[in-house]
Amino acid sequence: MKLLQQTNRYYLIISGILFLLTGILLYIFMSIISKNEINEKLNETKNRVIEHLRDKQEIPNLYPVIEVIKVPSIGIPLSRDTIIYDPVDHEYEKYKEEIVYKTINGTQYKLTLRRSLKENRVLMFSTTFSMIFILFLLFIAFFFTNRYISKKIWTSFYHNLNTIKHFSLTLNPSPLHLLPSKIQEFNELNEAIENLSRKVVSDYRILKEFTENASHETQTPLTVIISRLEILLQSGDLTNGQVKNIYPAYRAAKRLSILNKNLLLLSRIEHERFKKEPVYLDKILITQLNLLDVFIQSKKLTVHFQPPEKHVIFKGNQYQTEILISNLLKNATHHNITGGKISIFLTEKDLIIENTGKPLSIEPDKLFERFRKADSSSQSSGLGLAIVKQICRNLHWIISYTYTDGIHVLKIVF
Amino acid sequence: MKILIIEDEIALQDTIASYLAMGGHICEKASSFFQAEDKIISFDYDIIILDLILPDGNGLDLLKIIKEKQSQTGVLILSARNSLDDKLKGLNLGSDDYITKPFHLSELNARINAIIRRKKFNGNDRIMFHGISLNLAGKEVRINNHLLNLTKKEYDLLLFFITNKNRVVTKESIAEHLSGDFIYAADDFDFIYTHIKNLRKKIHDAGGTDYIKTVYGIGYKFSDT
Repeated sequence: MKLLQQTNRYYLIISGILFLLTGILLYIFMSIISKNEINEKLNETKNRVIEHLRDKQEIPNLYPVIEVIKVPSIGIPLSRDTIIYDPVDHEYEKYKEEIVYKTINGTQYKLTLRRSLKENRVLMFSTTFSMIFILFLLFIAFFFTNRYISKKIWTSFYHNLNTIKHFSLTLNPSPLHLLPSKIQEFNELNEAIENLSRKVVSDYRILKEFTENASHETQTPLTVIISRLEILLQSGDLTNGQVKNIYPAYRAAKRLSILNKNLLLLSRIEHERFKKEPVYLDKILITQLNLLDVFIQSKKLTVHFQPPEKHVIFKGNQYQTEILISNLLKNATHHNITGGKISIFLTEKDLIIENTGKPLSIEPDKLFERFRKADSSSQSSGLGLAIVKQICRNLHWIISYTYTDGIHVLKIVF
Repeated sequence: MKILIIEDEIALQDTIASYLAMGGHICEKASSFFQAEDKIISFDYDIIILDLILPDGNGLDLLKIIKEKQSQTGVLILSARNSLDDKLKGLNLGSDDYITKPFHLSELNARINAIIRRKKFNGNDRIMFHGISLNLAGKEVRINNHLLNLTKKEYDLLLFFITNKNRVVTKESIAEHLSGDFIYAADDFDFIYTHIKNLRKKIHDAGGTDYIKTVYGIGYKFSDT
């Protein structure tokens, strides 16, 4: 759940509870206040009536509000709510009734004073309701302002989050630039993340440069080793034992040089910005197949390839595509069985290369990793398919591998 | 032929010089930009082997000087950088070929001889070896005036052998020469055996002598001894 949703939810729950509580309290207060008010009013009327009786010696009567009768003896005072018929309104109404006994100038009176509860209740309800309504409006206003403010505050956060999500060392190894915010905490977070990304990028660059420099620096000494060994092999007076020592060293140096070249190629494909140009995939396939002819013939492979009637053209890089196709075809040739088959299917949407061969000795999902080799003693660098994968990534193609019934299938979806 | 080797790594300079000397070339060496510039201005060379990365300058600048002073000189660029940009720049500036380190001496030798043939004989050269005659322009091989029907690969192989005659050529260098690149190591050299078998057979059928000697475990040697 998003933070905004969560805070809104809490806000709504808490304000709902508060709203209810305020309503109840308001109602209770209002009833207490109105009760007091009525009592006071009744008391006031009572005093007025007593004064009237004392001064004017005349019995006032104003049913149902004031009722005064002479009584022989004093009774117990009483205060209660009652329902009586109102002759003015012609209906039964709730009244607050106060009965007191009073001796004035030697005469005992029973004073019954009443006050209608109806208007009070109406007033009380209307006040309560309007208060609650105002409160409700306030809550709503708060809710929306809160949401608006939060949204505004979090906009930069979500933008930055998106930027961080798309941070990729392989696609664009540059430090992150995040949107500044008015919130200090966010700015601190941004700063920390930007620093972190700068560090990561610089470490990555250093590592890459190291790989590249190391590979470059090794080239010349390797050339010296290989050529010196070649010269050594020229001398006619070598004994068999000497040859047995020199040749493996020569082969190992060769292997190292191949590894070196592939590492350099991989790092170039990862970093260099290659220019885009129209590439004819079908033409590249034919050229690369011709280049591999020697291997295909010596392994007695049958190749099925029906070039499509229309050229398959896309925007890419000629050099990278050549390497991609060449590596895939070499793979299909190299890991094939003698007398096996290679089938190539090219359409506008995808390219499928199938070849016969023994099952993989490594897990299929590790096939595209660096230095994965079916046979560790093999002279191959184990970088061929890692290069393929990287080129596919550059071109935004999807490559997948399956193996069924002795046939390896590599599929590229454009 | 007179060859200038511009390479800052002395060990490599010596090796190249001694291998090329076996083919009868006269080699001079320069190990810095300054030295090289001096030699280019003072003397004429048929071929200059140029390393692009020198301690005191860029080989591409040297290439410009070479083209100004000696436009007829063939230039072969050596580079540790397998960069297409460098390659294109070099070729645009007038270099004749480009080879990436590490390389085989036999391959270097083949490339240099190819440049020499292009430059000096406009490709109309004929190479003779004990009755085997290679017409480089027509890519034809005759043995005692009998035309051999060779495939392109077999022709390339024979030319490679003759260029590196009397020297041991490893299986690796042959594989590399024939397949064009070695980004992907060829573990099996079966395809070489096939081509060599076919070549031997064709030479033999035409009544020629088989000069391809197998050097056990290493490769081959094309020699008359």
